[in-house]
Amino acid sequence: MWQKQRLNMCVKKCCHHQLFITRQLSGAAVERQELSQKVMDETEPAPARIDEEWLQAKPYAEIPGPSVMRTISYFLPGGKLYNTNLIELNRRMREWYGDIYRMPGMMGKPDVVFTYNPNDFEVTYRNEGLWPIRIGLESFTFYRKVHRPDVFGGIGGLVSEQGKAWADIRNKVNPVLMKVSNVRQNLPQIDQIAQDFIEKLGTLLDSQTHTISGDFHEELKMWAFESISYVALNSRMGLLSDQPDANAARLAQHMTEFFDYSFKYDVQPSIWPYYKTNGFKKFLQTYDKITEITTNYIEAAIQNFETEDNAKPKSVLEQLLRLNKQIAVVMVMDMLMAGLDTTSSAFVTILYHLACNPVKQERLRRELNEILPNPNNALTNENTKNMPYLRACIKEGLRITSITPGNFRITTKDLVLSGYRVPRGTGVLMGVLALSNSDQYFRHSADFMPERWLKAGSSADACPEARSSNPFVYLPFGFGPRTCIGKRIAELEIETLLIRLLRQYRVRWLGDQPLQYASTIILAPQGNIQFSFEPIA
Amino acid sequence: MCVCVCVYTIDKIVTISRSRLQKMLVMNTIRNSALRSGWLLNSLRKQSPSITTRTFSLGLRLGQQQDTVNVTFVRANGQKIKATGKVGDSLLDVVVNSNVDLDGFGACEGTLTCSTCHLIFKTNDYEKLPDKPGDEELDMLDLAYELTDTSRLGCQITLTKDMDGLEVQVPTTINDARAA
Repeated sequence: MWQKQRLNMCVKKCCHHQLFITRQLSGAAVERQELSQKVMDETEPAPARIDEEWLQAKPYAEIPGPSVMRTISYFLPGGKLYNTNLIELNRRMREWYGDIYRMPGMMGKPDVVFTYNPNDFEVTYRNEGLWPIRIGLESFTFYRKVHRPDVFGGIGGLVSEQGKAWADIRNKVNPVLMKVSNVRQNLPQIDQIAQDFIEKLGTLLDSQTHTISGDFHEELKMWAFESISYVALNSRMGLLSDQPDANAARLAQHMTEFFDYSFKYDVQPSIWPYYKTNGFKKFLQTYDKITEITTNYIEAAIQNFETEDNAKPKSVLEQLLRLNKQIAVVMVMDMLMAGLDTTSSAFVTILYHLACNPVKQERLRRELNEILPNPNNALTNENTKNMPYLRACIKEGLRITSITPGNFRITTKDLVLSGYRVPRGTGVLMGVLALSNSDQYFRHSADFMPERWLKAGSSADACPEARSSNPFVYLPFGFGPRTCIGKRIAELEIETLLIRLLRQYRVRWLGDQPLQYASTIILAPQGNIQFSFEPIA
Repeated sequence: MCVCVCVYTIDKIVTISRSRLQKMLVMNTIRNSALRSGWLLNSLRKQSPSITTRTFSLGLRLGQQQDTVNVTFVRANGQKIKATGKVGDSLLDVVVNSNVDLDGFGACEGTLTCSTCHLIFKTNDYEKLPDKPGDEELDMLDLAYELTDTSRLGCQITLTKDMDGLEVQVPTTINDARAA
């Protein structure tokens, strides 16, 4: 502990001194190792397993996989995995090593076991306990805790924190962001934002071609940001007006950069914990820009509280401010960062599949016509309660392309995965996306078939048999206490905009080829996104 | 008769409970079983007022019992754990507030992101539950271990007065299965 403090002091005092730079940099790796050790110490170890299953299982060392040297050679220029994206990387490794393989830990990181066996997903999730460990983005933790403690005051946020520190934040945020009834209180405003988006779309549409000349995905990012910032800050940003604040578009741009960098420095092997390359320094600059923009928004919102009338529902920021200012600011910053590309990308995916499947789109529209007989009616908790087909469409879209290709946990107990002993403290990456797109688990997996998500017997076209009998195969938001904190808000936003958009327009895909994705740490639609929006008479 | 019930339950609790909250459980159980036999008390009061007196000697005032509800959790091995909640509490609240020792129960704090508070109801009780499961609950129930037709998530069940005496089954957990 004392050493760590001394290191941090060195970082502060001597960071311009050449001699100390190496020392400061190796500090990050030390930090990383200390962090994971601390986390494991906090969770009480279970007694050593002596049950039959454990004793019968094959030793950990027998899990196939490359050595450290081979792993590094894969990623070097000329290596087999040089410059590949995350999905390609996972696909090829699986081809070489099978449905379970081990990537050796390096630079203080734990080993990661990649598994494509849904039974392993179930075992991992069911044994994660009250404080599941999900080492998020290490660059993110480094940035907040080591690089900018002046801004973050030791609070890493939900992505970075583990154990009790994580639970302390999550417990405060859960009631506001995860309780279904609380989240749905935002419906009137989210609906208003969706209607504003539709109105703006109307002004952008060419009446002859029914297309917009601008970038539809960029427009959607503004919708997503307007929505999440309303929930987080309780203020409208005006991003759907004629002259939106340029900072929001800048933030969107920086977030795209952030995802690219994060793939490079958090997923691929990198020496940044020991030596800060120029690329990594640019990454830190991107982080700084994101911090600056989000902080400005938060400060403006805090100033507005005093002038606002008290009858309005309290924003996440306001509710959390009363509990702990530092946590409030970090949490809201996370919401503004995480609620932009993710929600808009998910929306593009779902809309793309509906646009390519006009029969399904019409089936959905029949349901929407029942919900909103008059398109000018407001959406309420009552009329949005029963919309099984809409929810099935969202699930089906996210089955085919989820935002992240896999879910990650560090085991908090000794587990048997695919017949191998996996000791506590090992990383497990669950290859959800690959299995969700396999005919082995989803009949006609390439087809967009929302009917597979309808409950048995709920309607004539329900075919639950076309989905996996193991529900752990499909978990786009994860599972358990560390489920994506934005899940409910994202679903509410997506549902609401889909209702408004499809109630008013018949949507078609105009692209010559299927929708393309950039695979970094998230899957984001890429290239020419061309829809036509034909008004419904 | 009421006293017999109390003594029996105390014995049982003392033998089964190794938890550090044993004392609390015992107190709760005394209260619970006295409450549970409220109907018995009422029906017997006319014939035998001494029972009422005895109950009062345990520190109970019947007038304050209006909003308490007794629930019994039955573990997979048949062990029964009695607990008391208030009208308006969820079954998860009951487990947490009464420190019922169920490993990993309610991990997500009632945010419908896990299925660790899965409970199995008797068919009659299940049908009487006031609210049907919502979409979010059904999605999580799909992920529950040992799902049945009368399964619900405890965090979504709000206690009402007429649930007094409810008995629910706690399914085997993966840990139980492993230890077995």
